Amino acid sequence: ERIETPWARADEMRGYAERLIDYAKRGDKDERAMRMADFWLTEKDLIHKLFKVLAPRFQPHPGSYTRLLQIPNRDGLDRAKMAVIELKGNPLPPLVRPRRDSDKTLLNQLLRGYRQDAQRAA
Amino acid sequence: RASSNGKPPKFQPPPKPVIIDRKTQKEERRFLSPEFIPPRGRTDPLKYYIERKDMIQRRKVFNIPEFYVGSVLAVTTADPYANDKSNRFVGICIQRGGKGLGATFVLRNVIEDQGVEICYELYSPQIQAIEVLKLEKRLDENLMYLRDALPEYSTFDVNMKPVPRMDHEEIPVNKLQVRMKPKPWSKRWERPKYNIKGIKFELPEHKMKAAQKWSQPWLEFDMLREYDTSKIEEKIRKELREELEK
Repeated sequence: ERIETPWARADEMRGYAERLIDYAKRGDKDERAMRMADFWLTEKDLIHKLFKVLAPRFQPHPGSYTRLLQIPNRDGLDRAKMAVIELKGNPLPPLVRPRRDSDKTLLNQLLRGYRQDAQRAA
Repeated sequence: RASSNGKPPKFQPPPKPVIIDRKTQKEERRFLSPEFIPPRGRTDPLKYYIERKDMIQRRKVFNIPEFYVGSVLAVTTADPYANDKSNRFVGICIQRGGKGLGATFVLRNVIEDQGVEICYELYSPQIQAIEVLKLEKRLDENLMYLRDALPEYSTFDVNMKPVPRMDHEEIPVNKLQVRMKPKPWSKRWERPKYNIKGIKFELPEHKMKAAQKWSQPWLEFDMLREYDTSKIEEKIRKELREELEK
């Protein structure tokens, strides 16, 4: 569901992963889909997970199923540019906390004032 | 029939004629010339749209018939140095290349023991007429191996009559297996890279097995190489239909 690799590897892998999920969406019975999954996934229990768990999860979404985020460089001698690639909708804790705008910005203050006026009038 | 009762025989209505709806079948099988499909890339689709408009404009004036690689065509071009100012060449189409207005097709024929290949541009104004003498498909998209095949497979009579074809039937696929001249060839056609089905290889088994060493079995599983053209084709077909009806 989530993996930490060099950025170049993750970027290249993203296209293949999304196309594999598109193939899996065609269904279990499709001969070509099964051959593709068999070739790409060397761990055969993951084929089962692909068709039974991931394909229904991404059925409503038409497009991107993965998220690519950069990480500080690798600690070893090579200082490689690392990235985390994860499937959306995974059960692990989220990597990015969505930050809401602070209450003290001008727009938010004006909106707050407008809300209070509306409540007083009602 | 003589009646047994003495009364006139019971009227039997004639069997109803079975109407086979040919029109709907015809709509489904539509030929889209391969040069209309834009190649995969990052160019602006506006460029392909403008090119398509020009192609349609040319097609309205001049009829470019449906043909495939392996069909025999006769092309008359304008030639300023010939007596009749026109030049007719008959040949088998070995490849169709190029996209957009630069679409070409190569015709091959053997005339007086000399193999001749001419590359014509479909949308060139020098072409005065294209006639399909024999419409058929072959097992491959590229018949360049005819250069290394025995010359009898590339000879076609210059005054050949057009073969009459049943309208709107299936295009016949000629499963001819061509016999080759002895090796060396211009390209190593036995290698799996060319994926040729139309040659009758008379090479020994060990040579065929050695050629399989160059096969790349992972290539068919490489998902990012695939170019799915079904939606693009639908849009282009709709566009063509609308434009040609005007």
